[in-house]
Amino acid sequence: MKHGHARGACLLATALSAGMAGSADISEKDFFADLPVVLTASRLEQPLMDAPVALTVIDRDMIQASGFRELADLMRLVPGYYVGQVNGWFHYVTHGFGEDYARRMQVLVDGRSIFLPTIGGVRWDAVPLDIEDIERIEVARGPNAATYGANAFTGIVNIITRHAADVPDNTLSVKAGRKGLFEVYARHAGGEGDNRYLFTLSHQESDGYDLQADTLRAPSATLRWDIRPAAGDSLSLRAGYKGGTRRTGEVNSAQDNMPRDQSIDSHYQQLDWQRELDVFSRLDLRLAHSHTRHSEVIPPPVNFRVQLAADRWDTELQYKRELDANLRMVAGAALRQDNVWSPQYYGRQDHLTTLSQSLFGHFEWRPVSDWLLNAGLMLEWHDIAGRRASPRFSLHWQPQAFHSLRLGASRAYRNPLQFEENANFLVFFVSRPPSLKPEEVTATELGYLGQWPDMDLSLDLRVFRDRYRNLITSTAGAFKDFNNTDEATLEGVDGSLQWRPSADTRIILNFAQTHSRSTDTPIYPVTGLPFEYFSNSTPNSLYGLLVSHRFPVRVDVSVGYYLTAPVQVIGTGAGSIPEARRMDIRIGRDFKWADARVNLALVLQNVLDPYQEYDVRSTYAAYNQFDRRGYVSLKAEF
Amino acid sequence: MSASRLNFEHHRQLTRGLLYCLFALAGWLGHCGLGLAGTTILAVLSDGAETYEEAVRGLREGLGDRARVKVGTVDGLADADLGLHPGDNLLLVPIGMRAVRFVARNLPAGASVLALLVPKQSFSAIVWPAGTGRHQISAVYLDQPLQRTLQLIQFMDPRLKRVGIVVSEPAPDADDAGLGELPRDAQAMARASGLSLATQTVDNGKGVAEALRHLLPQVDVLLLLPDRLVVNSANVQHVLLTSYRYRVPVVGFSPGLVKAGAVAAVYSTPGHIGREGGRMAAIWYGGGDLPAPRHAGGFDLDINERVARSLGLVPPDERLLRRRLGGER
Repeated sequence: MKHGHARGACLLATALSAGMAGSADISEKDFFADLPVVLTASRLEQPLMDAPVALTVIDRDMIQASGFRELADLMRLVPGYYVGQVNGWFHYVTHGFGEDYARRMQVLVDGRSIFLPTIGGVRWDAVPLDIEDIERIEVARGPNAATYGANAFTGIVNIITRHAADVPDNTLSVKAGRKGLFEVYARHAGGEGDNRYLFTLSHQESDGYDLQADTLRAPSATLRWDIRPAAGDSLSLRAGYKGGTRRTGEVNSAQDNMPRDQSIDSHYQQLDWQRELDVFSRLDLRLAHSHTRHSEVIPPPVNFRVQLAADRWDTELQYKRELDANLRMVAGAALRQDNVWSPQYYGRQDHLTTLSQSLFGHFEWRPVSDWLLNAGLMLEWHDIAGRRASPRFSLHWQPQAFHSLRLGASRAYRNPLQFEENANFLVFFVSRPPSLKPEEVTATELGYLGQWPDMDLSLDLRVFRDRYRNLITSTAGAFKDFNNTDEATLEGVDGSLQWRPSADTRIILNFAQTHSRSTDTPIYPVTGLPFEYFSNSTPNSLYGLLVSHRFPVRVDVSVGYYLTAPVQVIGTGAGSIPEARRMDIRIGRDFKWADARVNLALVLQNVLDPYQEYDVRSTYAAYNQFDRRGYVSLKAEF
Repeated sequence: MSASRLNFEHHRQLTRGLLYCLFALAGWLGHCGLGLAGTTILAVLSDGAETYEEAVRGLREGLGDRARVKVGTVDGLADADLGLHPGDNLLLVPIGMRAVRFVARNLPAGASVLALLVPKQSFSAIVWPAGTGRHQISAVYLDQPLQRTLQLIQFMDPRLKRVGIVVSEPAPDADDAGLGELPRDAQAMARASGLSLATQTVDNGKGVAEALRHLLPQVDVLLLLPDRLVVNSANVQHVLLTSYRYRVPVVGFSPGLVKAGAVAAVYSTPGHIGREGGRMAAIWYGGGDLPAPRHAGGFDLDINERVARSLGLVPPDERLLRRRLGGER
């Protein structure tokens, strides 16, 4: 061991040591100093093992390895989730009942609902969010209304975006490929310490399917600002916009559906304020607004303008508290107002407003070390659906460190949409006095989470039975309406096996086997088939395999393989979409160029034979062939 | 002890007074008839804080009945007209960095120094008066041997294999260390524990955020070493929150860090360090050479159960962990 003096007596050094010591050197005070509690009990999140429902987490590595470029496609990485594609830009994501309006899912971005209160579902092409800005996605494979509110019905997707502190100062990315694909993206992150912001600009273009009129032009901008105005307070402001045009209609249409551009105007504003009351409790306030509007004119001679606009206003106040080391609670209140407007869909010029208010609470109690009980309840007052209580329970047995068994039960409701309640679409729908009840699901499941750390292996397995009542279907005939007609039961098993055979290799196998039964009320007169054909609307097999490996020369290779059994999407009244097999390959390399970290990647999507996507009319099957395609992406961070 | 306390800034006055102090102490010790003839152990505390008192109690425990320990504080010594033995029979035991600097500035020729409660990095940077022999200077470091911390990670959860460390740029004249606080054989040490190390080097405080951004996506655990550039009271919130957003557990070096949100830390208490120092002082007292600087054999460990659970970690019982690490009790 050498000491300073061994290098000779240097008077200058001695003087410096005496005069300046202590300014930068660490001292014993750094070891014994009392620091503020940063990760307070109320800030800590529930681990997967303790979560009341089966959760799948999609992280950034999986997103990159998948090669997926579009938000909706990422849901192919979730066991049991089905992703369909109507055309080059319209995706739908469902869990349980496959339908292009995806009415039965809740989708959140940083806690803000992006579910469309107009006709249901999510316009994934209109969400102002680039994949590059996603930190991770947490997906519940079942209802959880007690935590996420009504419409957290067959599943919940919660997308968490990246904080400015976690991204490089500047990011530029370009993607170009077949089918006219071109995307450019720029992000700047600035500020420091407790005051940071992030700003993105992007533009997407694609020509869609070969035989369809479905080009997309989508500019987008987002802003996020995170500040800590005082110790214990944090404030996050978010805003975003996505617009542009989407080509729609049929290439060889009769005059009623001629190709035309649909213009999109989608924006949001969100404010989150969190206050640490003390080490054990916290108050969260969220104010959010989303606006989505599309507008199109069916060309002459029809010359008919269709507009549809939705505004969703959310206010939520939440109080979290750790009562003692084994008992935590969350309680809160939420107020939501949905305004929808469409003279064409609702047959009226004014806005339709739906108000809902809710109170919710959740307890997590660990009476002894290997047992955990989660209990939650939401009470809701909804303009159309009336008053409802949605309870949820789960009991966990964790006899060993890495093994957890979960028995869960919950009830959730889906409130009718204004479209279901008040549709008056040209001559196809007539409005009737309010009559719809909410759809109801009673879900039970037995889940197992196991880890074998020595092998870097983990298994998430779930056996479930979901019983649905009052499913809303539309009546047959020229004059239609929606009714609570059907009941259905979905039973099955789903889960995921993850293995890291080495630090550079990751293998994820997702699986879902579902058996469905439904009353399938025969109400579709033309084919004699029911219009809402619940029992075949979920593929009875869904498999996904994602293998990624990093080679020593910083080359990443990943292969994704996805198998979807035949499915008959609700509302088409047509036959099944045949089994689909898809394989994607991504090859990427990291390197340094000047001061930038650069990633160059080639992605080939569906290297196998073309498969058929969404089929609204079986005679048009050829229009929806998803054939081989690819793109090159170049990303620089500096 | 003095009633009036001098500020730390008034060192020059203090230095002038020291010569008188040394003589006064010699006379006083003679008067009291303490210790072996002419052999003195004087503990110099940075101040009167309990931390230092605890170290003194440990020192006395480690030394046993063999010798008496005289105690003074940096401020007290300046005013109390204490004198020290000049010459070879004096062992100064500065406790804390302030005391070490005080002693380094005023070291009587021939006296030996056993510093306690000192971070290795800071202690190594102390410049001793010309002519001070290496065998005269020793210390019990406050930091932990890297090996022990790596073992804590290894035993805490077998899934924590890739360890990330942010280190300062090495000082231009540092020749005994690899990177900052990281010994040269750190990688080999890690491999022996079945771990791999990923390091990011920073040369200013602002670089820490960037270093974390590069490191956190590729590691299973972040290890914080005592380095004020990397972690300090001003940025600890950022470091812990960022790591938590990445779901990467942090292993710290102090109980304060564990309370703040690190998942675990292994550390030596002032008592451990005092006892280790007492054992070393006993060797010197018995006529032997002062042993080389070392880490304390005794240590304690803290685990933040809440944070561990939230990150899905399942650490073994603290007592079991301590036993596996070969702890004192």
